[in-house]
Amino acid sequence: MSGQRPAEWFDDYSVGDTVTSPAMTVTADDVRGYSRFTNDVRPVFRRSREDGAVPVPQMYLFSLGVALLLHSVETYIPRHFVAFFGFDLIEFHHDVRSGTVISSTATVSELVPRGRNGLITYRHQTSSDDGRLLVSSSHRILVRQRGADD
Amino acid sequence: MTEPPFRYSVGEQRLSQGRTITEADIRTWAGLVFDFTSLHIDAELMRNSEFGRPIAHGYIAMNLSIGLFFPEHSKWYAPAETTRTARWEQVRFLAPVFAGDTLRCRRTVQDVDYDTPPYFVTHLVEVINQHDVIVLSGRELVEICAADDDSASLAGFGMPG
Repeated sequence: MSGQRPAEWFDDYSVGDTVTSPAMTVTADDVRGYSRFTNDVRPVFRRSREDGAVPVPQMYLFSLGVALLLHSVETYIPRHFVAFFGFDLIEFHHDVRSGTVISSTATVSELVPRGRNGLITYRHQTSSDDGRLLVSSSHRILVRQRGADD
Repeated sequence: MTEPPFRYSVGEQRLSQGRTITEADIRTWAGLVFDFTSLHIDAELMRNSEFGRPIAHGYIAMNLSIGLFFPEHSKWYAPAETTRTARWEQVRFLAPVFAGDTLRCRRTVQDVDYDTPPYFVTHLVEVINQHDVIVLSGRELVEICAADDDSASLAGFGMPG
């Protein structure tokens, strides 16, 4: 992924490659939309302050943080993506309120060939613009290996 | 010592009501997290794929695994005002979800920790479709603070507690 062309195949990645998302402000409207969609109405996420700031549900912070990686300049999900394998671990480090600016990084920590495909392990972190680590995860995606004719 | 607000038994289980996933749900989720990947929203492209049609974001099933428990099982899942998630482990997306599928969530208590506040309960989480196929599984470590420990968790939200 460190070369000139965007990554397309498993073979295009190296351990240490890092994907960096753009930053985004999580708004109260985002949070309300999420809560209405998911029905995650836990009391801890329904307490607004006088200034209108609302707690950001942890799962929204996590989901949004990972999805922001899709908008990175570097390639998070390559063209020959096969499947999302899953999350080995998701940890919540700090809670935040609406108005917080977040961004994410994902670094390739392991590459394991698997038949015609390969498993890419990412270590992901979503942080606030003041440097606090908010959410982290370890997750794997399955990507096709380049064949002789590709 | 503060009494836990709820006592769980290892092995006890709750099954949520169902929710049928619609195409509108898939588009709404895409907008909520800015994930407009073709796999989820391009019917023409997906017509020629092994799935034959767009598949729902895996995150929809994962996120609904909490909301499906409200309001019927709200006191069971979130017995304290400050109930929150500490972490998830071994989350696996096991089968695709399509518009028209009806999802329910089954939670089974795997472990409890009542030693000192905050208290922790580990749930095995399984999201199941209308054919009883598990589409997502994982473990959620739920943190439950007793009422007089609210201040600790609320501090992160900038509240007086």
